[in-house]
Amino acid sequence: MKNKIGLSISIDYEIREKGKLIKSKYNIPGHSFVKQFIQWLFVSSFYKGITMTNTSGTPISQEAAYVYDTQFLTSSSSWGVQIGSGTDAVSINDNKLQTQIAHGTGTGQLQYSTGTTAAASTDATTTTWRLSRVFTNGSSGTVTVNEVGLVSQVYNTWDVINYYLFCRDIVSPIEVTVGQQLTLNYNLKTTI
Amino acid sequence: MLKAYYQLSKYNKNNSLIRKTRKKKSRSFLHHFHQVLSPILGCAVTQTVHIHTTGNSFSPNNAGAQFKAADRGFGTDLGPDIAGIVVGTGNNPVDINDYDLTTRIAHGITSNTLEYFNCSVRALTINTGSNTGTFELYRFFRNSSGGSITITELGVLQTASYNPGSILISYGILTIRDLVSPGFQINDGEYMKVTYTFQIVS
Repeated sequence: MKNKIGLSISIDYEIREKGKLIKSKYNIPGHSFVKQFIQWLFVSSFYKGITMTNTSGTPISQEAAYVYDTQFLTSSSSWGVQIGSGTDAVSINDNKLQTQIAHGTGTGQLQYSTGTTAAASTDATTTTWRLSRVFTNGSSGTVTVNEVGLVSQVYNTWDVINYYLFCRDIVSPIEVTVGQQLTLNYNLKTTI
Repeated sequence: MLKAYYQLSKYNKNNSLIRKTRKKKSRSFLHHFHQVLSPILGCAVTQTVHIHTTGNSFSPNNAGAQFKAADRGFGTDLGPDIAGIVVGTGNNPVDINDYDLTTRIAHGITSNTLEYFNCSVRALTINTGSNTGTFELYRFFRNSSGGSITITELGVLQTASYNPGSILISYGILTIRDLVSPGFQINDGEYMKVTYTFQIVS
């Protein structure tokens, strides 16, 4: 994929079964920062609160003072890399995946691992930072992933967390059969 | 995709526009932009390492860590030439690990300095039709140095503030740097406006 000047997204995935790589695809162009991302950039730049819509659809008066009280990624499926089965075209106003695949072993569910981040890597003209998550199919049937997203965790006041969708992309259907593990990587790359 | 554009314009002392460049694509989100972005996506801010304008590194603790570009807010703000949009006269090629302009112009009214006014933000607009979101960061400067100055580089220094104990500490970290070629001359008594436009396209 040609590097584009600015901040761009690409998506990788691998499917493994009993440790063996079954299928992979790399450098899928991600197109879709959504509204909450530039709102966050605005809040953090201006140090002024703004109303943002969280993943529950609730308008939040997001204060700037707490925007960086952060935590490591957890196993919570409420934030980090998310997957879904929806196929609606991306709108800049999206505030959540259309149909998030829930964490679990029930029908149509996948087990969300704890998300991970790698240290940013830099070469002469780019810095790339990766967020990853593994999803395991412990259900009794195939689960198909059609949409992926990246959700941030941002404190609103000192003890109130909100989740905001930053990116959403539609991908060619990824079928995860029973017992398989899907590893999904979001790569955020700046190019000078 | 997140893109940035910059534009320079200058005005005489009566605020009449003298010259405006076209809007140019900013080339240069730097390594530190990731360091600012990563805390809210799961890399705890305590694990981020920043290099501020002196070349020294630091890692903020979690207590009220902030990064801001416009110089409005709380706490121990840095000098105006270490926060927000900054300008310089250097022309070294942009390196993704740059932590300062090559030759940042100091705030002042003496030779080879410029007066830095507030760095501000224009309201965010969302265009659902074109699936774009845009806002502007801008700053005015005045040349009261007694001579002309030619701007050849621009940058955005975000103020990183945190509280490791009883006192708030702030540093400037460079998240964007661009070269201006040809240089943009601002004569004594003239004002210059630098605007960075940030835009996402979904």
